[in-house]
Amino acid sequence: MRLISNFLFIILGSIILQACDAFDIHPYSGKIDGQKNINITNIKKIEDRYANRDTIRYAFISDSQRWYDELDDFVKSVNQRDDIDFIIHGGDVTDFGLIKEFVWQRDILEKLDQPYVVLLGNHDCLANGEEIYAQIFGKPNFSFIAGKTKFLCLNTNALEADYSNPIPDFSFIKNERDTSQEKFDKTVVVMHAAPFSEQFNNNVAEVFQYSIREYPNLLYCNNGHGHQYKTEDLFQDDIIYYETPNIGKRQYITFTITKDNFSHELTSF
Amino acid sequence: MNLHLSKKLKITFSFILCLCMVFPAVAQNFDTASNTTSERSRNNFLPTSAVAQFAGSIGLVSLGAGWDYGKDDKWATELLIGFVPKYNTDRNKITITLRQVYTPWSISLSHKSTYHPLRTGTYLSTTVGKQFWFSAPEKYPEKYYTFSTKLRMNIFIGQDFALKLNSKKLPLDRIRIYYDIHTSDLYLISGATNRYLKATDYLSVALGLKFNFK
Repeated sequence: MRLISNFLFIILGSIILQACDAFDIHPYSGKIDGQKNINITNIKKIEDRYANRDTIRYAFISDSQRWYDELDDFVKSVNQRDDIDFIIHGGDVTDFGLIKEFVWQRDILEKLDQPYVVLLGNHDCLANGEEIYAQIFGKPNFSFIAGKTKFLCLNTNALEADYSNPIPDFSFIKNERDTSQEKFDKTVVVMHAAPFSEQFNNNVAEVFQYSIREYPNLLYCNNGHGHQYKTEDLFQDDIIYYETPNIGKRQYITFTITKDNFSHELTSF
Repeated sequence: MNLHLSKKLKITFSFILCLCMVFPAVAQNFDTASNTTSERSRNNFLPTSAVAQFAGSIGLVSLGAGWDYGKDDKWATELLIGFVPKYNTDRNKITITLRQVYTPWSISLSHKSTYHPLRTGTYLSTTVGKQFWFSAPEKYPEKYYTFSTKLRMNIFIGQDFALKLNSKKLPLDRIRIYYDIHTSDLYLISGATNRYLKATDYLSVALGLKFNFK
């Protein structure tokens, strides 16, 4: 009898010890362990490292929800390249907005050798996902300057919000245009869902395009959400929207911006 | 919209009804704790146990009532209310859980203690709050989000250890300490579809105490 209860005690004890962080309070608890404010930290790295560069090259990935193997392989593959300056993730790191999903994906992305930023995807807004995204990555609208190019990263998931929350946020777009004007002469706009997708507030699609074209030398736009590789001139104004495939397709787009040109390449891994 | 709302109301209403039935019953059971088993069996809608749990994907702490039945109380149906602190979010959350427990075997360790090498079952849990929905609101295109953020289906497997009390003052017959290893529908979907995530990523541990009334 004694043996059995000792045995039970050992099993129980070892399970609990091994599983010190194996207590799950709630799938949407908001209890975040580990790295936070990642975009803020990494933007500083990008801006410091590449301030004097004429040429920058970055990898654009998106929609990695539940594609853990593929995201992990992407990290390994891109870490082997020495020509990528930073990585932009176009959003949807989670499928269900679960805390665990945010943390699992963050822990894979944290293995990247180069700095990265993550945009807010529509799936990341589910339940209290937006609050979790804000804690782990940062604000849903942000910008940074790499070399002489300003990257305007916008939350375009209007379907996930109500009217109390302006999406896209035109006052942010306007303010950013006037901020650090002397530091950039080119602009790239990055978003999760492109205009005319069901997520976008299509009532203001034309106004949106007008407002981003006010930026100095708008080169092109980047988006995810559609899970396909696409290059589309959505507004017939020679501003191309480059849509990157979901990471499950084992593909990403590499963009190179030089002093007076840019190019892109669909890369498989 | 109306249809959707009425469905929501119905579910909310049935939960409130359940709660209204359980809580006076728990209180009443303490009042009549000196009743004999035969008297109690006549009022068999009354809970026969109380449960306190730590973790389990239903809150930091959950409290509830249980109905134990079958030979050697092999079966139990439990209703728990869980509390989730706000942590890094704006609000605290409350969960409501309905759990079915099956404890097939008991091994007597002494005249006072019993070991149950297996307890297993399933529980449905729902989280209160308008940011969680049973099915995606109508603003979304059809089949846009095909899961519920409000309703989780969980499964568990665990063990317990029961101690018989001979207290004349307490209305308690025995105390059980248990642990469950559990997971939910969304964790399983996340974990099973890739090689990267390991079982320890999506299996978690819950600890609990169960108080069986006299």
